[in-house]
Amino acid sequence: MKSRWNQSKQNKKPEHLVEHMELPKDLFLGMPLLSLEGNRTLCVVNHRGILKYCDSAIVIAAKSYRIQVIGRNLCIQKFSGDLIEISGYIEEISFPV
Amino acid sequence: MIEWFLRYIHGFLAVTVTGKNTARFLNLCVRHNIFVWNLSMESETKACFFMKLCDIYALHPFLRKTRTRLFITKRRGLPFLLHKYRKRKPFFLFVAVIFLLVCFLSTRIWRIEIKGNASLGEDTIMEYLKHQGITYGISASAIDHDELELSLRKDFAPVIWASVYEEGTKLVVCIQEKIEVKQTTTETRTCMDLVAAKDATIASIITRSGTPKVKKGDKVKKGGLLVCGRQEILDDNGEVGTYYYKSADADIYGITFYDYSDDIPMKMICKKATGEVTKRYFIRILDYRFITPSLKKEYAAAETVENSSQFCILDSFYLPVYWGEITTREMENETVSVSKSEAKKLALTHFQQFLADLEENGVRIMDKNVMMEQRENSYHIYGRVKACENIAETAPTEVKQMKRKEPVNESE
Repeated sequence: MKSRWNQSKQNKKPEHLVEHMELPKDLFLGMPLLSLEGNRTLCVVNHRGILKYCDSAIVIAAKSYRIQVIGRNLCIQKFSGDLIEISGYIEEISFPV
Repeated sequence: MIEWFLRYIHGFLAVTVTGKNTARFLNLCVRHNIFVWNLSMESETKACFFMKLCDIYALHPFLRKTRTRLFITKRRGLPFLLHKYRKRKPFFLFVAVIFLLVCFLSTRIWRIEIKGNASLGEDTIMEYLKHQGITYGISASAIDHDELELSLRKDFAPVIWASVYEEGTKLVVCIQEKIEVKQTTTETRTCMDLVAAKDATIASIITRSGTPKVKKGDKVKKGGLLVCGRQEILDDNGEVGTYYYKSADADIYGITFYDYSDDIPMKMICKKATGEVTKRYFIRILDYRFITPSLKKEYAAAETVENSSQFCILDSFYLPVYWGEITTREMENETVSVSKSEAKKLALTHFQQFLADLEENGVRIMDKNVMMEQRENSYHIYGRVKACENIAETAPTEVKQMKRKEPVNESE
């Protein structure tokens, strides 16, 4: 059985490799790509679906954590397999595990 | 905009999904490449969004899986519009015919514009284009631009550069003409003298080439020799050994006089508008013209002005549809007696025009003296204008043959 220390070391390896080779992390590690236009529009690429949705908070699932967007009058303008475009007054973005 | 247009063409729906697992339903939709937009949650169990018409049929398994219900609230797009107006087929046929007609007309030339012509008239170029087979209604693809540019340069001597291009349904022919230079000192193969073009008194002479035969202040007659192109080369005895021929070149200005006379009749026939105006409107499609009928009878003497405009969509999509108005004004001939002051004004205008014509031909006005006298039925204006102008013109030089001297036998 692998120890916990070994497991974390194995998980870090590809991340270090990608960093060293300067490869895009969203493609090789499946990390979500967030682009923000002021506090009005947020685009999330590489998402895994929505978990919670109301006009004051949206929770989006990513590969290894969640993206929590809190604000006012939030609305999903576009929703497709790899992109979510949120518009409204964004006040806070957090990444709870 | 393009995205919206494509959505409209394919048709889209506004739907409401109710149930406990609306978020799961939405996730299932996007996992199966069903695109949704303008998503709003009215409550935790109710979501409203837009989706494409073609995706609605793929939702059934997801609805059953998530135990949600779907309601269509709005139907938008071309498929629904066609369905709504399915009984109005002639209208759609008409729209389709108009669309096809516009598509067809947009491939033709309906206006020809000529730019940059100075000495060549627009009618001359239009006639030439017609002769080349380029007229209104020709297909734009049938015009060989390079060949037309080449033939314009070849067939019109003044054209040094030509460019032909299209702007929508308008063909633009852009030409550049060379500036004509008076060839007073042109090098010709035959040797040329400079002779007087008219009777004058020499005001100045600057000779560059040839032997001057006149000096400042000399009076010359028309055709008199000014600068000779033949130069004598003397031998040791001071006799003419040989002749050297080179075309004469000089700037010779002479003082000339122009007689001026003009007659202004005391009674003139003037055309005067009576105030009666008739307006008629017309529309012309290709060569067919439709004019509104005249409500008044035709005038005995009239002046007609026609204003026409060509139908144009945007800036350059001209179509063969013209419209405009024809204004006819009734005129009557009226005999007006001209007073002395009026005659003076009129005479001055005529005289100014005469001077302007002279100056246009390179004549510098030095002095003018004009008188006006009243005759039986008219005012007679006469006078003289003193001017200074280039009086030289070329004439072939007389070639003299040298007489061969017989060698003298000294022994005899």
